[in-house]
Amino acid sequence: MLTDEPELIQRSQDGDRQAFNLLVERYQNRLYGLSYRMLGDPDAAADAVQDSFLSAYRNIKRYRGGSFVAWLLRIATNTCYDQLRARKRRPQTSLDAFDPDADEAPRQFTDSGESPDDRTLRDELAREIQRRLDDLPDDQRLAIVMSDIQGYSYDEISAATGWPLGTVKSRLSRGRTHLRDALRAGELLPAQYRLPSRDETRED
Amino acid sequence: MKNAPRHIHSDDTSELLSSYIDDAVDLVERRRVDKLLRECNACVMELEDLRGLRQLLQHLPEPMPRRSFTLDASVAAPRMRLFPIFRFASLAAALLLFVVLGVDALGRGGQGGQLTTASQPAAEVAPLAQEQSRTIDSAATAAPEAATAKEPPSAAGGAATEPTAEAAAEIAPDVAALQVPATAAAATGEEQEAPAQDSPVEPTMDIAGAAPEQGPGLDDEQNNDSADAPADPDAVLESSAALSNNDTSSPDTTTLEEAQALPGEPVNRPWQDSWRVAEALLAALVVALGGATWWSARQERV
Repeated sequence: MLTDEPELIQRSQDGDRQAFNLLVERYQNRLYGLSYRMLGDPDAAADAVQDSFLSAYRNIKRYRGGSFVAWLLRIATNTCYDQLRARKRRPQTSLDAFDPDADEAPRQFTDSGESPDDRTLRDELAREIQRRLDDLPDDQRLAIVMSDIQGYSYDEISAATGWPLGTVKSRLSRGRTHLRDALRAGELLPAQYRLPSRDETRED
Repeated sequence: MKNAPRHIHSDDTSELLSSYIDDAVDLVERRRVDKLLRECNACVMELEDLRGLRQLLQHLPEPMPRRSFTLDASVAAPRMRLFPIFRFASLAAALLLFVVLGVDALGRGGQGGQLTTASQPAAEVAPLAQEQSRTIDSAATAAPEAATAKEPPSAAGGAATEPTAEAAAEIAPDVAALQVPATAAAATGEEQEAPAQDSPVEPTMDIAGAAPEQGPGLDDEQNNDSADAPADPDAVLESSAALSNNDTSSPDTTTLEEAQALPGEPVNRPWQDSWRVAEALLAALVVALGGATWWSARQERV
């Protein structure tokens, strides 16, 4: 089985779909995580990821080296922006709003081995944070998702988005400030998941 | 943190603290932050808030896709590029648009706006004839107004014809049905005489084309009547009958038919119809190429 990424990319550029599918399996969770946090909807995120990989496959000959994951993330980011623009043009309500199981959607998250109560609280917190994320401007949301949730460095974010480094810093800073203020006002958050107190942070 | 006081920092300070927790500051910035943290308690709280937020976000559960996104053969099949020329569709559309507008402008300049002037009275006269036949009852009461309108200032030239007719068309239908033909006829009567008496210059195509069309059949009827009995309702009734009855063989009706035929026919310019069709086709082609450009760009966007 091929594991060397440059070799997989080269074979994909030669039209080897199986080689490209190995790359898909390697990066699909990252792209899905980014799309899900950007769009706030599992079905829309799945569509965006599928479109992104299809677009990447069709245009892989244009890939000219550099970070392949950054190239993929850029495609996924553009796809998400397209969906967000289309959503603004044609506002629509997600079907999840009518899905009685939607509020019990831990099935789409990784199983962390928690108790049911903890898991419920954790899922509730995740939904609250996602709602606050959805309210942020798109650029600030993207900066926070890539930096704080997915753990990319500033340089990687700059490569994936095409933003200058200073823009990455400023958008991340503004996004963090807005999100912190929004969460601070969120009295609905369970106490144990509220932001760490100053005392707790000092102990760290 | 819930009870932590709110402190407003400058964007610069917030950005510096935000970069500091990511260890993305240079030596000078680090010293600046260290100094801030020694002197500013609010900055310390701000920094801790940001660290807590980042920690919270880092521990969010990772969403997992419910399916794999590997591509099957049918999905990954190369697209049929039926129209690669669409890459240049925007250029072709721009050139075509330029040609259409350019030739159209030259054509209009060459014929002195004949197309516009010739077609306008036809649209005005037809409804007037219908209006008159329908408003015979009100003709008697409105006839004095028509008579008043038949006394245009002597300086009224051919250019007054169109504005008068258009303004009259905006009045209430009953009144307009009577005033417009009367005014148009009066003004037309002036026009027919004015070029010969007052102006040695040949009338332009606009005036020459529009003058007999403004009052089809009304020239003879109403001008003659107005000389004898300007307020006679019978005159209006006669003109109404003449307009609404096409199969009469009187000399007046012959004039009416000629006048009515004029606006609709591109006299001595049979190529105009062909050009209009060509214009329409070219315009449709421009729109189609524009759409193709958008579609092609959408398909190729990464």
